[in-house]
Amino acid sequence: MISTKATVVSNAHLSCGIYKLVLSIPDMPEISCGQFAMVSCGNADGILLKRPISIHDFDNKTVTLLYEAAGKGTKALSQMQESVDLDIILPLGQGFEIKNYKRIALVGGGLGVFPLFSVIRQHADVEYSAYLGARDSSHLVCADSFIGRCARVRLATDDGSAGEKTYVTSLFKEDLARYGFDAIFACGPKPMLKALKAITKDTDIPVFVSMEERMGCGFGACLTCTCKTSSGNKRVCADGPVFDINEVIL
Amino acid sequence: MSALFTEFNGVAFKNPVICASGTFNFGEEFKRFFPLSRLGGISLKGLTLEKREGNDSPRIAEVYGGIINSVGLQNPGLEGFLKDYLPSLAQEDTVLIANIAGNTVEEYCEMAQRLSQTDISIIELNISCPNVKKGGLAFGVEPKGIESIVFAVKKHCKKPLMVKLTPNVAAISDNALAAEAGGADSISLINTIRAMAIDAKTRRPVLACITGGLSGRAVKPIALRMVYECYKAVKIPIIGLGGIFNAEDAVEFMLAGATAVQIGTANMINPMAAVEVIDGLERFCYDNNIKNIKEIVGGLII
Repeated sequence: MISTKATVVSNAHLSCGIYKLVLSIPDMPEISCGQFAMVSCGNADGILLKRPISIHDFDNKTVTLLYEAAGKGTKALSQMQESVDLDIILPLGQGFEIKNYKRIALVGGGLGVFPLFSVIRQHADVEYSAYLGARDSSHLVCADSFIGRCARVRLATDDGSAGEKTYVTSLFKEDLARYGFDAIFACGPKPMLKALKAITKDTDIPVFVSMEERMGCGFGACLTCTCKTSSGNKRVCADGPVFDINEVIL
Repeated sequence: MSALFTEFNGVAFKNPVICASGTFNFGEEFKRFFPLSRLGGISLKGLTLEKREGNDSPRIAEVYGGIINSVGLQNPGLEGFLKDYLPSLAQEDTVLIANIAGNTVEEYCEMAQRLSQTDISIIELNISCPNVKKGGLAFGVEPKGIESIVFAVKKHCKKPLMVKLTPNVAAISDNALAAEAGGADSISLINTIRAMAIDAKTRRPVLACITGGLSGRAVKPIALRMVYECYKAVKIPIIGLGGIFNAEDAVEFMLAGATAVQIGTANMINPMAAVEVIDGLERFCYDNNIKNIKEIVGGLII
């Protein structure tokens, strides 16, 4: 983990307020899939805190972050032009562990689709089945990049404008018995994670979920981003964001 | 001798910069960014006698120039601290300050007594946390209450006792005087200012606890005024905090009368903040031909 300056290579609007930020980092640390970065949004408009953003993709010189310009901080971030320097801390948190899994199901909803891409980029030798969902086709901004890298990609939207008009967890449920997954990695809104927990409760397949909470420091010191677990409160930023689904209380 | 060396309550500090309780945990997370020996001291995460899980999330809201937190003293409890954290902390070449909060006067006394037998150098009496139902603020608002709890704890405390004051009061100087009368060796101020944030879109409070404590740049002018008022009122050393982000902020607090400063919210935004304040103070002394930083304490020109 390092606290450093990153230079904006590009910061492009993809669709529906979702941006793709590519940062070049001179002294790139080792990253593993499912980790995140704390990114400064400048100090305009009284902003103090860095924003936690999941790592979508990375190589030995750059990291790519997809984020939605939703609040004051991320809107300010969306205005950052090429070659601007941003303070950043990365990589943070406990990501997804591949262990010796051969067949992994990826279940993502909304913005939760973004970090799942880092899994397939880092470990290409695994057979992936991706179940990706969003409100509509224009919110499914990076689904295309999963196609060709996964054995199967199934899409769900609320309005049927892309893939099937259903919940992503329903698509996953159809395939669960069929493909013999070794593990399930998921990220998305709490109702999706709850549905996933209900669907998988009678199997012994390990399920790992990436959690989200309002954060302060991002590196474990301030104890503001806690989530409830079977063994008491844990820090989403440092003990997570990835937890065993049986450990977190959703 | 270093221009930043300072001493108060019989304790030597290599510099007057202390990391503030609740923003630095027990220091472990910062070791990846700098050696803890750079710091004058650390005011450790607030301790209670029994382990506490703290409040529900969300526990933090960002507001203009500040943050509001409602962590609620999540901590491993005194036993857990002594067993799991203090042994390795005691190896660090920096002053350790234990911040204690009790549900009752007896709990405060018990913690002070037990911590007096450890490597802790100073005990900071937290009678100013706005995020717990019992204890905390309940003892720290009225001057009479402050004097009596300080007096009671002092009898069980073999280490210097620093009393952390809340700004949520009628007259801060009366409370500082009460702490001094009770036997406090020093005072630290300010703790957070009670505050709330509302999300206009959802019409709901941002924090699960509805209200919390405001800190960060936004509170600095209030904190400066309070340090100034206390400096005029009491003889004991004052440790100033509230929105210190850089060396210039620290100098302002020292001019207002602070012997030392604490860095809080800035640690959460920039893990190197305290070290940058220390480096900046060193430059400030050099540039202004100041032999020792103590020269500027209370040096406000009116």
